[in-house]
Amino acid sequence: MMVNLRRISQIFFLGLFLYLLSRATTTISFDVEAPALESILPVQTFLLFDPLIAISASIAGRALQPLALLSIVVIVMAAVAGRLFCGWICPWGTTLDGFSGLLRKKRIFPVQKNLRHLKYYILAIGIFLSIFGLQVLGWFDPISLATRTFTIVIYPAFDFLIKGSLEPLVGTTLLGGPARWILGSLESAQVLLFRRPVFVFQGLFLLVLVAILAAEFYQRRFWCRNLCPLGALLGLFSRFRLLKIVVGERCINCQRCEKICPTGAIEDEKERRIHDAECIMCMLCTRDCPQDTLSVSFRLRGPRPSLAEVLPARRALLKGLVSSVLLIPILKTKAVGQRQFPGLIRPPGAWPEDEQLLYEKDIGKAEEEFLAKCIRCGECMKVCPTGAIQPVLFEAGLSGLGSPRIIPRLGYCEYNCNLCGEICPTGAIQKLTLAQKQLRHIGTAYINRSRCIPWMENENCSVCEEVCPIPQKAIVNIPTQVSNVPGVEGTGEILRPFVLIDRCIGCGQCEHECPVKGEAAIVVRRLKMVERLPIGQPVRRRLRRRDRE
Amino acid sequence: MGKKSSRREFLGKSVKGALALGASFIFGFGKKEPLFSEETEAATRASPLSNVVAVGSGKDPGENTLAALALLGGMGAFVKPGDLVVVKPNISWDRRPEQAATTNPDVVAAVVKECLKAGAGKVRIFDRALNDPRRCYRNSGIAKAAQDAGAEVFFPKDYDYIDVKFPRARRLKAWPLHRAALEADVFINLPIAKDHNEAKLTLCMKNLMGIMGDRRGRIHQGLHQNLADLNSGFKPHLNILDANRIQVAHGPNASLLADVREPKMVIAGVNAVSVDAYAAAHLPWERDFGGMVEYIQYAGEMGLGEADLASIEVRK
Repeated sequence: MMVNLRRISQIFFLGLFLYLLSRATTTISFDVEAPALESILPVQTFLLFDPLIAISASIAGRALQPLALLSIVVIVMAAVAGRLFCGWICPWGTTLDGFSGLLRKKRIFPVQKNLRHLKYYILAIGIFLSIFGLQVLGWFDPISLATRTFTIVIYPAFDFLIKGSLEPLVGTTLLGGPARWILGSLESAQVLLFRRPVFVFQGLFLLVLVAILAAEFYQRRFWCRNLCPLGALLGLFSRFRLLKIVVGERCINCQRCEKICPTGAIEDEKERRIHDAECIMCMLCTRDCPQDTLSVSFRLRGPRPSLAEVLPARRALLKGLVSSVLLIPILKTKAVGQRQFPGLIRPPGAWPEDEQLLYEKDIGKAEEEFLAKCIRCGECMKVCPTGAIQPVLFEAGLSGLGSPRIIPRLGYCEYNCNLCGEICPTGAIQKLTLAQKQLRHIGTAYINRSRCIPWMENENCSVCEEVCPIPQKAIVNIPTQVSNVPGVEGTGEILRPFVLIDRCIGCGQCEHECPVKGEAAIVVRRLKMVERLPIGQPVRRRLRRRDRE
Repeated sequence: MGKKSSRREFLGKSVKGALALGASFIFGFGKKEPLFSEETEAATRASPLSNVVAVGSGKDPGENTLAALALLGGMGAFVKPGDLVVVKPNISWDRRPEQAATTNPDVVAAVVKECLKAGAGKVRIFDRALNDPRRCYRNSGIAKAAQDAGAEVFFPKDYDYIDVKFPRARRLKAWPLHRAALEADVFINLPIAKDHNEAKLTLCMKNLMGIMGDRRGRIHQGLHQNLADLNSGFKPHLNILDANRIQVAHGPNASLLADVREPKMVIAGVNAVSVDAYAAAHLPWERDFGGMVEYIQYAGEMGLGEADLASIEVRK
């Protein structure tokens, strides 16, 4: 019965997780007063309650996370009921359980090897590195991992499946109506995505998902028992748990509970103990015990954990600290980062305003501070209305993996939108007001005159100038008299675009719309004026108040 | 025994399903004749309204719309009971109504109400936006106004474009157009008048770009001829040009209120070329485009409508 209750809880929380993820998008409502994001709870709720993220982002970012106190709820839950979160709430755990359920009982290469200390390694390394300003726990945190994987892989795949099977039918007479109706309803309910999502490096994130799911063939809840640093953290607090499962007097050593336990928490039955730090309260042992001698008990003072239980964790923590020292130089390698690949355009709010970025080292520092807080959850990628925000591979150095960048060819930064800052759970992308965001320069457009149609082919185009959203336009047309205009005798007038670099904020709509195939004739790059101007002069002129109106 | 028959049943069901699916593909897609053919062209030219431009002026945009329509004989002259009407306003930019980048929502509401009053079976509204469509539909005020007036507002989808040939085109020989525009009984073109750098002015003829599919950036090479060609292959039944507020600089997506002027009029006509020619000459533009806009000139040359102001009958 408890098992059924748990399944209901799991389904509820997974449903809530998916609901919140589906709400992380611009609302379709026609009402001008409607809020930009419409949801019964903040879209980032799961991330806000996550203690691992609170700790990691607070330490690495050198500032207490604003809503960090919420995560105390989960810590208290662990102190009272152990890893109840893992068994009853965690959406990633539920996903693994669901997949395992499909496998039934086929475990291809069951492995008895005890790898449980690995998660303590990861936790220790992660915490230690965050002291040095390196955010790696975001890669391993299960909520961040779930959000990222669903955003980049699973939700698009689901969206593609439905649309791919129904869209070809819309033109047909028989099934066209129903197909349209289903598509329309699912889209209004925001179950289907408004745009066809495109994410770069989708394959990498798919590979990670497949690897974690494949591990289920070896051990049930392989991720949870061996790798999950949140599980490790909650496990540390579980030692004090008040609610535990106890083996009663009638035990006949049939070992059925040991076999059914998904996290391998039951061992050494002679001692009649269940590992406090591993038990996720799945209740399967209580259901399957033939003697019905296992039960949940409320103990204020139970037997203390044995040395055999605690030692692996302690060892792992120490070894982890030592290994971290080796990792720091590797991850902090700025060889790539410092060259700062000029195509690396961060979302507005990731870096401070221009006045604070006078020198190259300032940019390096801004990037470091951003990466320290960014937990790679992918919420910004989900919410971006144009699909501009994409995951980074190694363009920002090894430690930048999974962080967000804008690729204008795939999506431009919508001028009147500031959703990425609104949604970022750790404030890595700062919340900017619309007015602030519209002055925040993230890059500058450059025209490649050897690809641009008016410059190379003497034919008008002007699409970049047309779509530029800056109130006074950051691109102007220079009327030029030229000969060899197609279809014109003698000379004709061509409008040739020119970027006013002190107005351009790098939104990328020009690059997005440029009709030149392949690389656009106008591209957004980060302007490095620092070398060209005398020291002390500001890089960019702030728009004068009258220009801003 | 149980397993064999269930397998057979399954096979049978699958084959039947596949056949049904195949049949639905074979037996039809929606009708896709181009809206415009030689016959309808001849009929339109013979119509007494072909050279008429109606202007409604005043403080209220809705009233101006009704006045202009009345001068053309009222909406009943265009919409018959039961008709499927598609209205295509400009909802292309994420701007508020007072920034004059999108059609005035009061004008849209007035048009929708008139169509329904004339007995239209259904009125549908759409445009293919250049900013995020959800923001455009919402912030322009058009989606709400149209929906409240009784129209069905929808977002155009990639799978709904059908290739249409333009037989009389000089440059743009064919282009995918949205099926809703092609399947409508009555198509009403509802632009807002604005300044435009490459096109010089965006009026009725340019507004048709909103029914085009594919990547429209390519249209901008030889834009003027392409616009004339587009209008040679597709012709709205009625054009209503919103000139209550117009953008005169930094268009077509200006956001500064300083770029907006208020001629406070609505210009309507069956012929986009004539309406555009009138608007080019009589609205308070600040750009010097030498008196004639190229695409209007080409359209006149191709015989798509009367571009000569002297031959246009203006009703006020």
